[in-house]
Amino acid sequence: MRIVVFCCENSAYQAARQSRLPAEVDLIRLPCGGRVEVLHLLRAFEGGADGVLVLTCQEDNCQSLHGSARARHRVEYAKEILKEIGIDPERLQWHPVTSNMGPRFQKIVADMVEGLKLASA
Amino acid sequence: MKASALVIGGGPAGIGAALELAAAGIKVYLVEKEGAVGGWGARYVCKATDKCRQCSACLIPEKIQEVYQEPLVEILTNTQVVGFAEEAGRFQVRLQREQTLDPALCNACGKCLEACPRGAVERLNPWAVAYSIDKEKCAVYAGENCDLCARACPTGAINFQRPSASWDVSVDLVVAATGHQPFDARRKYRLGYGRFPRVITGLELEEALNRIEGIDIFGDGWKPMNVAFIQCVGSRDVQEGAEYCSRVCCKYALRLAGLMRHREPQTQVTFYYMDIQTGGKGFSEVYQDCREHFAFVRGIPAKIDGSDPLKLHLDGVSGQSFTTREHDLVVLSVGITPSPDNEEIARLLTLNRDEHGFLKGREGVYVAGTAGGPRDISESLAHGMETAAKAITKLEGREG
Amino acid sequence: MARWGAFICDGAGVDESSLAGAEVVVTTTLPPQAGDLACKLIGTWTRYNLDGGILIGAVPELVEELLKESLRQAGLDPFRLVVVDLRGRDKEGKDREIKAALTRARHLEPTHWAKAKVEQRALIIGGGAAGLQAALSLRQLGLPVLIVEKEESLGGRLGKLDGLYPYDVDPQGWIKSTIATLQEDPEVEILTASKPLALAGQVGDFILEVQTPTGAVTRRGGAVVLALGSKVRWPQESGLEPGPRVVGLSRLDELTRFRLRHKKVAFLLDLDELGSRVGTLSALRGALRIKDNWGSEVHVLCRHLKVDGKPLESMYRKARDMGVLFFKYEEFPQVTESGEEVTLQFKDPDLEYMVVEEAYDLLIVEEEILPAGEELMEAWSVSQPANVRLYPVATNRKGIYMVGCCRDEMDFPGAIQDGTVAAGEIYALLGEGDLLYEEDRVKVRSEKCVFCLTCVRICPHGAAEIDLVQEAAFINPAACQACGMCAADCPAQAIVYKGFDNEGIMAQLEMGGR
Ligand SMILES: Cc1cc2nc3c(=O)[nH]c(=O)nc-3n(C[C@H](O)[C@H](O)[C@H](O)COP(=O)(O)OP(=O)(O)OC[C@H]3O[C@@H](n4cnc5c(N)ncnc54)[C@H](O)[C@@H]3O)c2cc1C
Ligand code: SF4
Ligand code: SF4
Repeated sequence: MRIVVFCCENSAYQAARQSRLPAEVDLIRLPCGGRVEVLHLLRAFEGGADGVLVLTCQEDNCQSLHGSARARHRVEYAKEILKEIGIDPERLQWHPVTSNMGPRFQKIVADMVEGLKLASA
Repeated sequence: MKASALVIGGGPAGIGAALELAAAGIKVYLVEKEGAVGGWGARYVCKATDKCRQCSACLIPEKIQEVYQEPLVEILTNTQVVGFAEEAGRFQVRLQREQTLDPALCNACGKCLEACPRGAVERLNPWAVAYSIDKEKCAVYAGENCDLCARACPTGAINFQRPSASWDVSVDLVVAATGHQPFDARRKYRLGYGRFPRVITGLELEEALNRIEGIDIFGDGWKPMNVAFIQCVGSRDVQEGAEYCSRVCCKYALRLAGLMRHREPQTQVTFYYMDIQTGGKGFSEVYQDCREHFAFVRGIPAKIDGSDPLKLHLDGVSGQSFTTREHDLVVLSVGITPSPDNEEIARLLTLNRDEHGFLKGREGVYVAGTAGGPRDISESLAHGMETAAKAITKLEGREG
Repeated sequence: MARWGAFICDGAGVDESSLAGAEVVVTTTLPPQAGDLACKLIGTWTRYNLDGGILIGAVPELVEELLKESLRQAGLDPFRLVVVDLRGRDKEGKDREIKAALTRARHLEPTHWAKAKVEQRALIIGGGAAGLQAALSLRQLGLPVLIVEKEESLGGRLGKLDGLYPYDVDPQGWIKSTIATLQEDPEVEILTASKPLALAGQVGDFILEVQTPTGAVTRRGGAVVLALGSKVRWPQESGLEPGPRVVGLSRLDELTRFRLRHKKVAFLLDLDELGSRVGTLSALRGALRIKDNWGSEVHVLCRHLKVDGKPLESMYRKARDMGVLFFKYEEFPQVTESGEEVTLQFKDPDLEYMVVEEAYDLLIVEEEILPAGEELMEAWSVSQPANVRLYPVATNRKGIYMVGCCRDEMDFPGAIQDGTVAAGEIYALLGEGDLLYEEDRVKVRSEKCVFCLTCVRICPHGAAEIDLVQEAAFINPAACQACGMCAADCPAQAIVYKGFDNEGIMAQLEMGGR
């Protein structure tokens, strides 16, 4: 199993460093949630990811104001495409995670692992 | 500018001041008595629900990183000011550093934590570079023989024989940002804090919600269903000599209640209050939300019985006199009180205190953050910045 | 081929074989102490003439910051240190992290730093308390300023109010002496009865066009302070109409300046459920003044008494001691006006929800206080939403600050704090005389740009500009805050972001695949 986690360096990446992560996780740092492209998300699946998480700041707390909101929109858009090509859109998720949210980061990843295990069972 | 400054206290106010001073080219000694900088705010939980609630807790790790990046700021943890003298507009300051645990050697591997049977080793916050030893729990400080942690440490960072170091620095200005003390809820005997386990303080709720993901705050699987928040505990209180509003408790309590409901939508919440303080940009939305979902009762319960569920006596509460209400968890929204160290700091730095015991600055020795009166995290940060800017202006004026 | 060094922290439990890769020319184990670590890192880096380093191990965030700082000081590019934090990862996770880091390292290109001279002067728009304080502090810090004020005279709202303030400083006296100080100063230019027309340029060199009574002028400055104050709106929704018996709180000073003949006065606060601290402050100020000077009976009606500011609780207690009565209401009172009287009927929760009916000969109503200058901000793409990262005075654009009531409701000390903080920030920005920035972190490849101006539209920091000569977008490197939003949105993929370019991200994505 492989889970790709795109994280904003300002928030989720800091939270990741306070958490225990399962082996399946690949962290990809972004300077801001706004940097993520639909292309990256689809390529992650193409590259063999079973699940993809995009973890950015709270929407009203983005250093670049709209970065997080953009990340969320792109995830929503990519979900539509996934649906069309027959991939369960739940395999792609966006969540806000701030720098002081180690336990939350861990839980989101664990939930994703759990969900994927159920789906493949 | 070739000047230097001493900032006492590494909370948001101290960090804000240090960063601003350094940005103007001033060398800063940032002195923190604990093993890590960050202050109280480093313990708080992010209170975002679907939206950011602007509690500023997430600013703390960011500011800590910023200040560690700043080459002009020398961060001295486990350090205190022990001597102070004024000479021709400059200050000679004697610093003393406790060196049982040397942060330069500690690589935060956590072996000492596992080794200590008393749980006396702690990492004050996830951003701390080093571990610290809680003197109140440690056997050695209680006069017993023990060196389990020292033997477990692979780098030799812990050594109970290592003497503390002291040395002098000479600075052009001093900023006291020594923070506050959350009100000791034990003083309100009738509210039962310290006697009944399900009466907790806002601070404990902050820490618990920060540690865990759900609302199992005691870690035993029990979930509160019907929570009471009692406001103004230790604020606006003539008896306690605290005739001021702490400015932060309404906001953190409303946000915490919102967070509990977000994590567990069934949670019922009642607020017991005098007046709700909603000042500050963007807070109105939070309050509107809370009005929709929570019950508000005007008045502060006089007494709590330790039954299960807890029984709140509403004597003298308007429209409710002599009735009781039941809740399974009571959160006391404790306020900001002057730090017990203020007396000593005021003596050392020859500062005055106001009628409540908060510090007042003077020429060359400035006061920032909650050391000078109630403020929230971002206000403390801004106040630190303002204080620094004022100090720089004074210095520039002296030179030019 | 690039030369990379791998630095493994002591006790990281890393197998050196996972580092196999031609680029890695040296592998060393680092000591655990942060200080020694920096020495060894820099030593090895220079000796082997490395292009970059990969630091592997249990690296707390703060140690990482320290190392980067040491590299910067040693004249090496901290950006080229890729840090892999292996805490919290198991064996397999560690290998994957290291592989990802190598991939990332392969795609790192060095960036270049540049220095530009700045205009060492601040352009302050608005001459109220906050703007004046900014000017005063900046002058004390040695920076020249321009103040643009739309009215005939400086001072703003505070300049029109009467005394009785519960502060250490008397605002009235402060305004007068500050204006006098600034007017004498040759390094202060004051343009009154003037309106800003347009703002061009970026941090370090803004160009402001101002309409003065004698024609338009242009001025340059390295930073801009917006101190636009607030405007007052009558609370229409309440159904109340202003008249001789019902007046707005903002007219308080006009009223109390002369003899007040009214026998019974009420202040009605918190019309919109929330109300404001400043509203409560002026009501308390007014109540004390009326009581003191004319002895009228005074009532204050509110939903929540705002006492969360230094003078508020003590003013409230003082007013109460002087006989001012305070009532609370939850449902908006019924108001009836008849001839000489206004009658309010409401239920007070503190009086067991008893119905209270009182007749007044003067009702003073709290108005809504709104930030001024929205048009200006829109035209200049400046915004300051409620975002903790911008608190207190920063905006989305570098070098532009917002102070005073145009950013949030505040009292006099608040405005002073804002002005001082902004001055400190500007001093840090312009004090040195030049601005250091990364020249090519985010860049438009003009040959690929299709001139759709997507980036100009979406850049949250107003850093993307139009280059008419090249017919391409251009990213102002000094103003860019390197979020990468433009690079993600550019339909022609014309924008490169060094360190986070598509090739690098894609390579990391592919590397872990099966
Ligand atoms: C229960 C509770 C919840 C709160 N929740 C929020 C919230 O959600 N959002 C918010 O914005 N605010 C909140 N606040 C307010 C917030 O805690 C304060 O605004 C903030 O911590 C003040 O920062 P400070 O720097 O002034 O002081 P502190 O955070 O107290 O920092 C002072 C620092 O100085 C050090 N120090 C003290 N004395 C010395 C000495 N003699 N020598 C060296 N160092 C010394 C201390 O160890 C500490 O690190 C809350 C307060 C309470 C009581
Ligand atoms: S709720 Fe608080 S901690 Fe969470 S993102 Fe907002 S300001 Fe930061
Ligand atoms: S990277 Fe962000 S700040 Fe820089 S130009 Fe692009 S959108 Fe603007």
